[in-house]
Amino acid sequence: MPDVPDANPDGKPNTSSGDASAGARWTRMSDLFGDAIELPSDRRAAFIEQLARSDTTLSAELDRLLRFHAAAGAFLEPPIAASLQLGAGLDAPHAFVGRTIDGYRILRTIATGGMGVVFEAEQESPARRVALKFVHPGLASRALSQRLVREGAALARLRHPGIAQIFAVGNGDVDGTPFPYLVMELVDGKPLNEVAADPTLGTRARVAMLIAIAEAVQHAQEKGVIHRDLKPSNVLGAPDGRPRVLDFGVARLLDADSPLSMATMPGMLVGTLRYMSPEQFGDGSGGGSGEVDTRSDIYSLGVMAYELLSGRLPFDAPSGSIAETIRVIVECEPPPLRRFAPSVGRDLECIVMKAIDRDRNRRYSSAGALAADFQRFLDGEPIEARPATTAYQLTRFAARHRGVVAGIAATLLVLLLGLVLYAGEADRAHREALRATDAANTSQAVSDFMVRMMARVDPNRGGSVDIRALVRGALDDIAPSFEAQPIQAAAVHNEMGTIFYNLRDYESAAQEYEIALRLRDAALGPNAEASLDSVNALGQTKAQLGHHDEATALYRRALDGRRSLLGEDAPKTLIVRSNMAVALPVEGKHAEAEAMLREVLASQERTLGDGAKATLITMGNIASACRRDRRYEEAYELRCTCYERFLALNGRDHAMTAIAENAVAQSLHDLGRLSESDDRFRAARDGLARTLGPDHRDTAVAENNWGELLVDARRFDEAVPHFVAARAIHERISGPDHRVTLAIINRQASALAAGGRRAEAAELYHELVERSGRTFGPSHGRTIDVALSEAEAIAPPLSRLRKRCWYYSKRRQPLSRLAPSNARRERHASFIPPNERIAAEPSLSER
Amino acid sequence: MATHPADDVTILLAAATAGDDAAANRLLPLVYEELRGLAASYLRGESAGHTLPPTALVHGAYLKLVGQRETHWKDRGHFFAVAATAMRRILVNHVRDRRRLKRGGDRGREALDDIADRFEEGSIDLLALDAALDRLRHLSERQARVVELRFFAGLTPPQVAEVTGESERSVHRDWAAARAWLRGEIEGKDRDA
Repeated sequence: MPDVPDANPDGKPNTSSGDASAGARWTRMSDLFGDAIELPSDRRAAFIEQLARSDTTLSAELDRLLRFHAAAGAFLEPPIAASLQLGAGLDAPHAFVGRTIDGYRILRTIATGGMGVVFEAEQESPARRVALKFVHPGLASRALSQRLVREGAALARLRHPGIAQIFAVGNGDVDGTPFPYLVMELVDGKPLNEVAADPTLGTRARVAMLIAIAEAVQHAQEKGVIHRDLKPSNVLGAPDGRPRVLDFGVARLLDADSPLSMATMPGMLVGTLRYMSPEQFGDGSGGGSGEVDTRSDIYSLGVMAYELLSGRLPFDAPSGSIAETIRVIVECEPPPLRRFAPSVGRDLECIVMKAIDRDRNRRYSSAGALAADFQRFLDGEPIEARPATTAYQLTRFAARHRGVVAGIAATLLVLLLGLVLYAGEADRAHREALRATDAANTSQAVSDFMVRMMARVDPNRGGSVDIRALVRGALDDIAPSFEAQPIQAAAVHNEMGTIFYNLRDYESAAQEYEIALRLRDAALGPNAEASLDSVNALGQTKAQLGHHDEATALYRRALDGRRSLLGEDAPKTLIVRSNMAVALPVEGKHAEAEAMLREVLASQERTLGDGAKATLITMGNIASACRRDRRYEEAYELRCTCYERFLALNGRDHAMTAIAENAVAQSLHDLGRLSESDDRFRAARDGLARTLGPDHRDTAVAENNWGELLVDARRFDEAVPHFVAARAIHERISGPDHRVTLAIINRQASALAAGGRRAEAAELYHELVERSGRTFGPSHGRTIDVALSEAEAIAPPLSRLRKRCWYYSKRRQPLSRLAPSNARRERHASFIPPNERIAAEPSLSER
Repeated sequence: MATHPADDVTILLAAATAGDDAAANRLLPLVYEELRGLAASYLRGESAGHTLPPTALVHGAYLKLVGQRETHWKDRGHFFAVAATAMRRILVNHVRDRRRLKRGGDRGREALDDIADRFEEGSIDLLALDAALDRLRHLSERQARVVELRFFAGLTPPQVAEVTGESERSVHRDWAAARAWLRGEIEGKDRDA
């Protein structure tokens, strides 16, 4: 071995001068040290001795270093950091395979996760195969070791056929690194999510599995153990058919119930988060700051049930972002189970929805109670869970949509007037034909109900109506009002559906119409006029939801029924045909649709007169068809007629008149008659704001359309406030990241940029990139378009733009996307797909 | 002017991966600011009752700056390398301020205190470690890097190997040598003093 120069006596490298030689010296030392530690420890002494023969200072230094090494223990081991698992398989659990630790011979790796690694191991005594879970050394701490000792024993006392037993816990040591571990029963089975993926597994079998899981959770709850991390990957479907729950109480043992401490592995985390209850995120409204109790497990059970029965989770987190996932869980209502699993019965839905209620006081009080209700369902007995009352749902609805609440009052008033008139009409004209007493009773009952509801408005409170209080108060009366009166109850549900429909909450509308339809089918028969009304209304709702096949089937049923019940030319029959025609363009049948509409129009003019509302709506729809076909002149003529007749029918202060005027303004825009269009847009917007309120979607449509006109008139500064207004409405009623909101922001930014306000535009685009990333994904074409717009607005030095281009071309974007585009309008048009495009058409509909 | 942190980070990361040291240096202030901001916001009571693991912080910064953009592990590794340096600077500055202010009298508990405490849990004196790391850097840049990655960003040895392009064995050896040397530096000095 060559001599090492300048060895200083205390063995420390010289740090003040001679860096190069000190460095070289240290490099040599490091090499020797590395060789030494790779030797078995009993041969290290010989290694040092040999070195001492040639260089005693060097050997002394190595000896000292090796002593520090031996004493280093957990020195500088990352405090918690080793739990960072940046990519699967980056750690090397296989390095453990074959080793024996504390009497467990490690056979193979079963799984790796953020918390650690699970091995299959062979225990020496008693001789058996076990699952050995190693906690990441980074998670190890004195506190953890203490908890292991304190609580491990309690966990080991959990004995239940549905629980994978914990045999022992221990604090292991591998080469000086502490490795806390758990020894668990080795369960041979597939994770629940894989079991559930089997399509031949029927609903009853799934419910039976859920019962078994809930019973296991109940057992643990009786022993005072909360699982805290229930999710399908923690449940194994054993070959005996009985699911086994793994890792009971382990989350707490590892102190991992705080979402933040689990935030070390994005993929794992989001997967886990979605089974966690709102209160686990420290949501104040959930009743505690991160305080977890048995009801949190009930929630997770409910989410698993939801997934098992519908194949999807109550909350989707398309962006995969942690923050977004948490926000959704904490803030949003889970959609009813049957929206995704229509074949699931109402009872089952009630059970699942009760289990995942955001308010834990409304959940089952124990896992046993949940299991019992599932069992009642299997046995065909009445279940304990009650659907949340409509009043309760509406209360929540109102809480969610504070922005639209002002609009509801107007809607209700319109509705109420219509009902009262309808009741009167029914009295007069249809008494004989309609088995009058029933119908009149019903409409009278519904009217009375609505009148009572409106009567709660305190006229002294001025113009603003607290619609939440109104609805809550009124709906508490539903059940007592209509006990044993399914026909009346159906009528109320139908009206609730209409309220929701008018509020554009089509999901809720569909729910109410479905209830109404079911009640009417049962009480009146499937061919009763009232049943068919619900069928048609439900069809319209489904069409709005984009469920065109369902809508078509429903329309077909309504048409056949009304034809034979009311006749070919009856107003209601024609309305169904009109609805069907409006649905046709979705299938690309434009010509066919228009022909059908014209046929309907002719019949309506004949039977209803050319000034009737239904006739005018059909006319408006024909105008839209012409417009779609770029026959702008023709569309304009029709719309003018339509507007004049609505004016004659309803007067100026009516939403329909304003909507018709908005259509006229739009057609003038199409024809390039910009200043006329400007005037009409102003009148339409004022009319809508007056009649529907400033927060209504149709008002937003008018503002947006007006803004687009002003952009084309190159009056950019004037256009901006209209987009701002439309955007504000949509941010309130659709949400800040909704695609329609994004489309409007895009137009606003574009108007700013075109008007030379580049800095503002850039800022807005910047914001939009964020939001678009959340909604569509960061590498989505739309997001990239916006990002490119931002770059353009910044008027960047070329290098920056090129960087961006380089970056985007690294993504999956074709080069064509990167070419600066002059076709701004085209780009904006493509920002939202056609079926989601902001309603540029006035919304005319009639049921 | 509106810059675009996520893009900047992605581009800079890619450049750093390609061997552009200047890019890595320009990343540092971005990551630094992000970490400080996150530390402040997380601990400003938004997660009262939770102790924030520092790695969650680093990870939070990662998610915020790079997000779900598709990045290669190599890019991510570079991010963590930069984050390690940023974390080190933040903590060391903080501990230094803390000690100075302690002498001056009353001082409210700050956001970074919890994190610094977590790092000092194993009775490590961060300032002594910082100084020793600087000395180690003169001896072996590579070993100092390994320590930063292991200790401040929490990378596992295989991950460190990926980031530095060294073999796993070499990382193990560097880590062990650096650790023993640092322990000698810090504790040996304590004992001598």
